[in-house]
Amino acid sequence: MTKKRTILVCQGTGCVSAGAPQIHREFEREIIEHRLDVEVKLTGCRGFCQVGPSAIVDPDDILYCRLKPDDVKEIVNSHLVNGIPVSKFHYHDPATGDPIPKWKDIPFYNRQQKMITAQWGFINPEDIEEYLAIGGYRAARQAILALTPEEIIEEVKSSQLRGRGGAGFLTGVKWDFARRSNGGGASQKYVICNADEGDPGAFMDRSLLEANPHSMIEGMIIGAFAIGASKGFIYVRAEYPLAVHRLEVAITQARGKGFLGSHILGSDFDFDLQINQGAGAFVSGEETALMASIMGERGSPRPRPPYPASEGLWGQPTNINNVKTWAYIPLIIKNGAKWFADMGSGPSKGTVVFSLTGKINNSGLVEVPMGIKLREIIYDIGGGIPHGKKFKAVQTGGPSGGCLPESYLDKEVTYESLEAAGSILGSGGMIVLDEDVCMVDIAKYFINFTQEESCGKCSPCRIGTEKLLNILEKIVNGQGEEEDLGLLEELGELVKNGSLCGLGQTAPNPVLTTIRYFRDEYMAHIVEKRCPAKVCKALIEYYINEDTCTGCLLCLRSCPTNAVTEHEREATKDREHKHPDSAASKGKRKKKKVDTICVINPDTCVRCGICFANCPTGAILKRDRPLYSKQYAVGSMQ
Amino acid sequence: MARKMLVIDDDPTVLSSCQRIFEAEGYYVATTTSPEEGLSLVLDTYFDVVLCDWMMPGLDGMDVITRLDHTSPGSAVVMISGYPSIERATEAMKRGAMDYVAKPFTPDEIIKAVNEAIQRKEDEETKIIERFGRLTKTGQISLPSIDEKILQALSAAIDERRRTEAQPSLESLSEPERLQEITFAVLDKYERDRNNLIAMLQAVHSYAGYLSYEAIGLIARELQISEHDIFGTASFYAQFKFEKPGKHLIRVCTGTACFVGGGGVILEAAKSRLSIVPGQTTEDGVFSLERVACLGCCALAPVVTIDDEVYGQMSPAKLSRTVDKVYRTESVKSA
Repeated sequence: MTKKRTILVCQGTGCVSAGAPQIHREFEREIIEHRLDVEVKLTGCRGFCQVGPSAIVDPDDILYCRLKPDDVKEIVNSHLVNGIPVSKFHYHDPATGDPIPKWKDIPFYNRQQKMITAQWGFINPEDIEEYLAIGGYRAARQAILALTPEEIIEEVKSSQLRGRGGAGFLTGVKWDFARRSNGGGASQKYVICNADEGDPGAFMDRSLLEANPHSMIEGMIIGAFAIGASKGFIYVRAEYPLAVHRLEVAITQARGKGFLGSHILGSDFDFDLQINQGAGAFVSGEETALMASIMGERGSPRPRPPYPASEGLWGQPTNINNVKTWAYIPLIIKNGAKWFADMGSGPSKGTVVFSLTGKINNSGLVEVPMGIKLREIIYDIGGGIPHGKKFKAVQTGGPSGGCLPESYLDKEVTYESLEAAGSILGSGGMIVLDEDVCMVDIAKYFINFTQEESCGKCSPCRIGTEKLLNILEKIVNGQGEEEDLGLLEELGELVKNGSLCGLGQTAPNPVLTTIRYFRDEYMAHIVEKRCPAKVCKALIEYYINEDTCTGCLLCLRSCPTNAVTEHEREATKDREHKHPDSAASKGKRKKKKVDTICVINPDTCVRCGICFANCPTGAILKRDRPLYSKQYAVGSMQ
Repeated sequence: MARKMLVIDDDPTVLSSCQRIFEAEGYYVATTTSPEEGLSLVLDTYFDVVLCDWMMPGLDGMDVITRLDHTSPGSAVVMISGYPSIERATEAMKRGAMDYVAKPFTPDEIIKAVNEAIQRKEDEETKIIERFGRLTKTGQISLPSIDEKILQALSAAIDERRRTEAQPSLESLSEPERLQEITFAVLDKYERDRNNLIAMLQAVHSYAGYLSYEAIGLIARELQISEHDIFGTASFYAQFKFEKPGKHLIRVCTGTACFVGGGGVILEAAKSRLSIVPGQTTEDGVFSLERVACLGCCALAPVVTIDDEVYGQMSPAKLSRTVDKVYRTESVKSA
């Protein structure tokens, strides 16, 4: 018997924002109308967010991209009724323009190695039966009924799984600490799932919770059993309402099936989960700060030791892991430690999930083996840089990470290699930057972020990040001095070494790596008072190209400071001289907008860039500010 | 309050599609394949609408309608059947159904039918009540046989239902009263424990839109901790606001992907269009502007959210248009 046809409509946050729920409803409507025996299924994120909203017709494996509600009728008519897939909605190879109907053949997918993301986008995250049907909760059953806690910890240890939250500590070793710790004779222990994904530009954890929440819950059940915890907390950002909803559904269903609660699977093991929502503080992703937040306090970190494994929540031994780390656990138990440890490179085993964003053709989530080269991720999977622009840098690890230049494209991606380069693997954010991005501006952006998010408890972080920001602001304003670079480096090291928690210890990374790899850009700002990427407001000016300006006046209308004025073209003026117009014909001429051009007054322009973004013909251009203002800037400095 | 719907049909696919259609319309939907179970469900819960199949194993749909008319006379019943005929439709209407829809139906058809059925039922009920009122007033009928106690219980029950069903009369309260009501409702839901503080603050915040001093004071009293302590905790988190926000919240994402994709310009455009800076509310109280670190839909960069709606690939012009649209709907509402 052939499998019943199913349409898998992705409903991760990305696709939902792009209109996936309407697509889902349209499919249902059309199928009812045609009286077809086809199921329309809600799924989580398939990773390829760039082409959303997307749908896969299973079992044909045909992927339809960038759907609009009106397209559905055609697909149902042609593909589902007559069996002819509609090629215009397929993914098209950007190089050749050829359609690629099957998702498995698309380079974005076929170069990945999917472990924890394998089921994303193919099972309904709101239905536990589907997770059970693919062998879900079998690892938990095996762990609780057939293995001892020591055996489980041994298995996780020998898999060499390391925490996927950023620090990369060996998970098995951490569990062992928590198991052995009795916290001064106390019996209560806790496990926590850290889903406070605060790094800007990262959305792996959210997608996991939206696409396959049960895998993480199963991992927590196994971990709790191994450690001896009876209560678990999931700390998830309040900014992720859909993830919270799917978690709630998943927990209720797992309770209903007896995977959570008392006497799980008929054993003596009791365990239950509770969701805590974060309230918008980046530092609360740090483990001690997160625990303070769960206890209803300010989410500030505290010095370690004592580590959570000995004194965590309410002074009891607590084990805290990232969402992805938990999700690897069932796979390791099911497939064995060797299966996991065989993948990867050196001490970095298994796979790693990146959220690939920024100036890249295929934004989305990718899962690749540890040790893959950056070039493969960015060019083969990511499809390279859009609009033929030049690659400049790749930023990994969010505000704690660094920017790596082109020379690192052929280096392997592991915890060690990125750390040696001055960055970190972090939780998996990967932002690609092209030639239009100013590296000094990027460094300022990240320091601004960490400075705002610093909790203020320790002075190196509180004052240090602010001083770093001040110096960077001086540089982007054209008032930098050559000594500033040395000062930034010295101060950066100080903040790194003197701060209490991971936020401060890594905050200077973006500054230090940009100075290390893009010193010439800093020098251009400092010595020549020039921003090579034409980003820094104080060093550029906007002007209008007369040849391409159509006089549509869009810039004039949107200018917040009225710096744009309307002028008549020279040629028009001549004509006017020859034929003095009546009022009526003048009105007519005005409508022919080509006779009007706009001019930007550089003295009143605040360089907000609104006109630049709005111009339909690209007639607004950027150039270095003329010399006299630069001289002025230099003069004012002396 | 969400309208409640019960769907009785022996075909699970009909149940699941009705559920999806009407949940998207904001209904609470209960489903069952068994007519007996359906009839027992209406005894516990009041359903505004009941969708009922005709051909079902066990109990005939027509009988279900008759029984529903007795056990849940307030529900608008809509008959659905794959074997439509005029006779059956008339029979169903005679027994108290409000409408009759043939299977298969499109979402639009069934939504329209249900909305009309509810309207008709409400009209019918109003008419009956009016007529009854006229009759008792003119003395044409008297109610000697009804026990005074039952009458009292009945009117109490009606009042109760009015109270719970009246759309949050919170609107009509003064601001401090409204916040007090919300805070008390939230306090009732949680154990009075310091560990629940953030969850409580979040609940009050999501209903009221901000944390007022009154709300913090009430929580402090109930949890027996100082107001300073609560304020210190709440002010640590970016989520909590302490002033009344505008009707609509515009959040401009300046996460890294949005930042390199032009999020800064979008923020400039929002500031210029609304004449406020992030953290402020427009003078007319319509918009608040906020800058957020990352909304997590980086593939759509640059992103702006207005209330809960996400707008991707924003441009200053698109933002301006969207703001205009909200202003237009606001002016329509006030007119």
